[in-house]
Amino acid sequence: MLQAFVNWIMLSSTYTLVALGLTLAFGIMHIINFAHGAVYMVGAYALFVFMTHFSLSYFIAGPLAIVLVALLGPAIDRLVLVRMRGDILRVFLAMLGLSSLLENGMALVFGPYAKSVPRPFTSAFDLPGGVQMGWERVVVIVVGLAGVAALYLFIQRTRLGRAMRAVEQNPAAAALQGVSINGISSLCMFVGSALAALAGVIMAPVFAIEPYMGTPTLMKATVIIVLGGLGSVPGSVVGAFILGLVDSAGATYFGGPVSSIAGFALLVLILVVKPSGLFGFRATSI
Amino acid sequence: MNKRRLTTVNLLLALLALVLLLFPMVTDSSFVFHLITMVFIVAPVAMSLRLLSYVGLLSMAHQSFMAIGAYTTVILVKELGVSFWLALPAAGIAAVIVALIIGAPVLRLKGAYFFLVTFGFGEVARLLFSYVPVFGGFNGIWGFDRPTLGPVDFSAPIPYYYLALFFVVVAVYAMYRIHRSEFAMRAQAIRQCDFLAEALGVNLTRYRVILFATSCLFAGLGGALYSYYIEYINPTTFGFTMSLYLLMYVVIGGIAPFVGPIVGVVILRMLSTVIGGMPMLEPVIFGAILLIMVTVLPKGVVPAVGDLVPAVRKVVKRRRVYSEQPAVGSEGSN
Repeated sequence: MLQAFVNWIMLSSTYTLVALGLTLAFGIMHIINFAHGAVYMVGAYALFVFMTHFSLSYFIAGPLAIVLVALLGPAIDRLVLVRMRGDILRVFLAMLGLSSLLENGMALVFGPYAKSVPRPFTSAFDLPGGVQMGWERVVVIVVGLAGVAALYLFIQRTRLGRAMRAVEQNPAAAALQGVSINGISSLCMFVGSALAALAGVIMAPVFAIEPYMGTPTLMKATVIIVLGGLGSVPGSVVGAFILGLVDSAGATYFGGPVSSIAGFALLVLILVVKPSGLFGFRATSI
Repeated sequence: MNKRRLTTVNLLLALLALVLLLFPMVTDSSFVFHLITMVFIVAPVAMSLRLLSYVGLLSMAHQSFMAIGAYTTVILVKELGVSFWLALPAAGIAAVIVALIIGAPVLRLKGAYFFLVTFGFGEVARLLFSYVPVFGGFNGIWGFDRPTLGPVDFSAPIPYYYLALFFVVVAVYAMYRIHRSEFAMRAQAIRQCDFLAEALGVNLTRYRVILFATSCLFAGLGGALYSYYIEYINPTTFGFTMSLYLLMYVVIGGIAPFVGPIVGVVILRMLSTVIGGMPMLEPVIFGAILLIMVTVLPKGVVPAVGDLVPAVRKVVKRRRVYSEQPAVGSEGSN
């Protein structure tokens, strides 16, 4: 029971990170970034490469992987997205192609089978109640929540964050104030990719990594952002915890596929009952 | 002048029909047979996906409907001993039933939300086919033979070619009738300005449901024919990669209602045989192509070619003007 609780917090933490990037992309750039799951996967693999081929410590490989993969975001924005601003369909198709390219490319290079990342911590400890818990899971929880807090501070307390909020509320007015829409879009992609990469890095030691790990995660993130309200940051957090609960309970008591089906049912339910989600459209950060 | 154009088109069509019918007598190459049969099986599915765009919908679940049709036929024949020729229409019916069940609550949503739901449905369907034992699990079902009809054994490539040809002809005819029907024109009008249509009292959902069911019908039939062609079925056959390909057939080919998806299927199938069908290399290349195409040539190949013609004409005209005019100045009529 306690194990399920711990799993819940851990899963939700990861989901929050991925969902946040997705919801930001929707709220600010009005796109569904289908390649987001692939970025998460690339983050995990980057960590793997740095730890195995370059023999770096987890604490160096991790941030390095995050920074490098985060740069993918603006690269995608400048090369591809800038030509299709505002056209959701084109963006979706392009990101779909990109995601297939990345996932299958990774499968070609690294093989389609799951790999494990070298363990960064050697000891596990027991919590009361007979719960086995490795430090990796603690990292997921702590770093994940720290990441959310950092994002919140960034959006609320910095000039760039304010610029992002301005673009989300009214792009034309923001542009008149001297905010570069392209710049903010690239920044948004950078932040989103950084969060996804972070999620990949912290999750990699917990579960095995495989080239197609991005797609189910993307699906869950999509359910979360619809549940929470597209474009809403607090919505993503709440939605992530709700879906994390469904997933964790489903996995513990029913088994794997049930949680995906439950997630889908939840998605349909939300869309039919209240499509704007819990926090409504474009509810900017608290 | 109208009558003359019609006759020319008819003549061309008749010629095409002749070629397609006599084709197996002429070639011996199993490679070409495979390619063309595949094109005939898949093109109607691509066209049916294109059909959804009449009401402004895009579905990521089309491959799941192929799977529904395929599993229905295979299970009916293999487990229940039903004749293939009854099981095949049953595949279509099953696909339509599921389409109606899913469609009823979901088709009233706006396009983007419908799309997300189809995305989820595709994943759920794949999981169901993987875990529910009657579908054979992850390994799928194999060891079912192609049918016979009287003396004709469809295990040979030639008879199956004709079966596939029949399918594509029926599909094209159906699409043609739909396209020219008043129903389609109203549907297009709806898509162009849906809140106006609703204000005028048009029931959007009804159009969407009918079109969606029809579209899934062809997907189901295509799925069944596809499985019987490769004589194997498992959940990955109709997985994410297939959904990508289906989308690509439509996108690459272009907006044109018939020729578009067919051209898309032909191009991509040919490319696929060239690549050699490696399970991972192919999606990489296809993904790259999709990315590049959408970035550079968003309207697809057919309209792009269509655009090319007047552009070429312009260049030719300008050159001719330059070479004819010895004097300085005057740019030409453009």
